[in-house]
Amino acid sequence: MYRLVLDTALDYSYLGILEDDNILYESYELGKNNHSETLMPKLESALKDNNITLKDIKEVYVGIGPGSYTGVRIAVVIGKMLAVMNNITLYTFSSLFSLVSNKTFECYAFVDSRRGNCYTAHFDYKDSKFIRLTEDSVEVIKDYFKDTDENIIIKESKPNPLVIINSDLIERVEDVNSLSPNYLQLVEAERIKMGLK
Amino acid sequence: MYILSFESSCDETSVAVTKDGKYVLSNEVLSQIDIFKEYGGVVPEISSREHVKGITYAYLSALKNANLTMDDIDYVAVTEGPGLIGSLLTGINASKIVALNYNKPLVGVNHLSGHIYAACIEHDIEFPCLALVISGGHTELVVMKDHYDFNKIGSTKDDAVGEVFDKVARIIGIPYPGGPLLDKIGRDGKAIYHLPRPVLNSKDYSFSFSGLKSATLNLVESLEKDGIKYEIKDIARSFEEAVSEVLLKKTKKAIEEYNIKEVVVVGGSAANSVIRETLVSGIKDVKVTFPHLKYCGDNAAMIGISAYYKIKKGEIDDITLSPKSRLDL
Ligand SMILES: [Zn+2]
Repeated sequence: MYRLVLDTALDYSYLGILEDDNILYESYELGKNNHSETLMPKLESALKDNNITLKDIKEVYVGIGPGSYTGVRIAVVIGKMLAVMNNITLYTFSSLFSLVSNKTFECYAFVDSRRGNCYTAHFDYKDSKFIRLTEDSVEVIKDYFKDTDENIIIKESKPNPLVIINSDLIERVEDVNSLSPNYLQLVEAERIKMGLK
Repeated sequence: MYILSFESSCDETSVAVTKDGKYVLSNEVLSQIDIFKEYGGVVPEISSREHVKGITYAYLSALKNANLTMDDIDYVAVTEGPGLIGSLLTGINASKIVALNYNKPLVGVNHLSGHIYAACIEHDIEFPCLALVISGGHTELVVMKDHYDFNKIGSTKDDAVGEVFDKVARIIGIPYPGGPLLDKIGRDGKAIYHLPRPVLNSKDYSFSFSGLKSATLNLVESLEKDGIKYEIKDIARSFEEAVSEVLLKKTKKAIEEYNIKEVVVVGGSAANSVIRETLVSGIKDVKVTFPHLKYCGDNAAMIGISAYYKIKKGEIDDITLSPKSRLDL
């Protein structure tokens, strides 16, 4: 069975095509603002090179954020569209989980979200599996990490698609049409309207 | 030829199926207007988020209402710009994955050409044709000698027509979106106040509306300061007639200079009744065409109609298509 794994929420754009438990193709590209331009041509040539079409893909896994608002929408839109076009199952995973998925120890995912804040989540690693210790959240960097060992704060690492798809930390999407990314933060105008700072 | 088209350049998520550049088989439009009423205008990030939410529903609904499957579709079209980059991206990514999934050619369409081609829904335009594009983002005069031959002869130097409608609406206390409500209120009003007609007699085809907006503000402020009672319907009507007269004069000038056979008035502000009446009664010798009201605002059907003529010209894009916040005709 072929599976597609996509994550475009962070500084990198990740695209993986799996055949059962083998990685047929993967691309991990750093670069913030051109995910949209590079991803689709890459997907097209990866399919061609492996002699498959999108119709052969039976499951799609997409990173749902948090991360770049513009970035995360790319994978989510592609995932939603593939799910409804080909009537296949869509799974989502936290982009913070994908960031640490190649590690094998207790760690924090760390994504700078500007103004001294970060997106983070704390994961434990036991019996060759990740366990979530905290939900994805926005934290003030200097307070949250003041006593934390730098070596377990993961800021950059290539996702491991096999770990992701075999994890309990993925979610199967039941209602594809209403799926939105996990932005984790309100839009400034929403905050103002609600009387928040 | 069947075309599936996407439009997401601003605050409408829309997918349509059109046939042969003339017929609309379906046109699903998810409007965000109710959301932005609470904000007094479009918030780009909220708009982008809404597009992601609505895109698959709009796609499925467009195919279902057209009673077709993707096997029947020949081309996929999408608005590539101008517009809000974050909003455009959703339509672009959706259209690209559809094109790749079903192995269909992809066509990027200029949003403005889409507005113009709204006039070609169930209608053949005559050339040379003059398009007056008036909306929240645009005020342009475009001469077309033939299909997909656009010659922009003038545009606004500051505010667009729809933009100045919204701003004047705010001045007289009409909530967002001001344009349609101002139209309704102005219908019972009388143009008893004289407001300036900016650049009415200039030699070129440019427009300018920010002076008119300031003059309206000054008028309201001085009436209030002097304690003079006024009705907002009269202000609305006076303002609408000032805008309409400028549009009429420039349009007539272009008709003569370019030997125009038909004028098409398109875009969201083409729904305004005073503008419609002024242009219809003021232009006698050539045909004046307005799209059906439901095709004046942003919609994907007009993108599919425009795409048809782009395809006829042999212009096809590919999967590297990217959104452009600014894009000329
Ligand atoms: Zn428009």
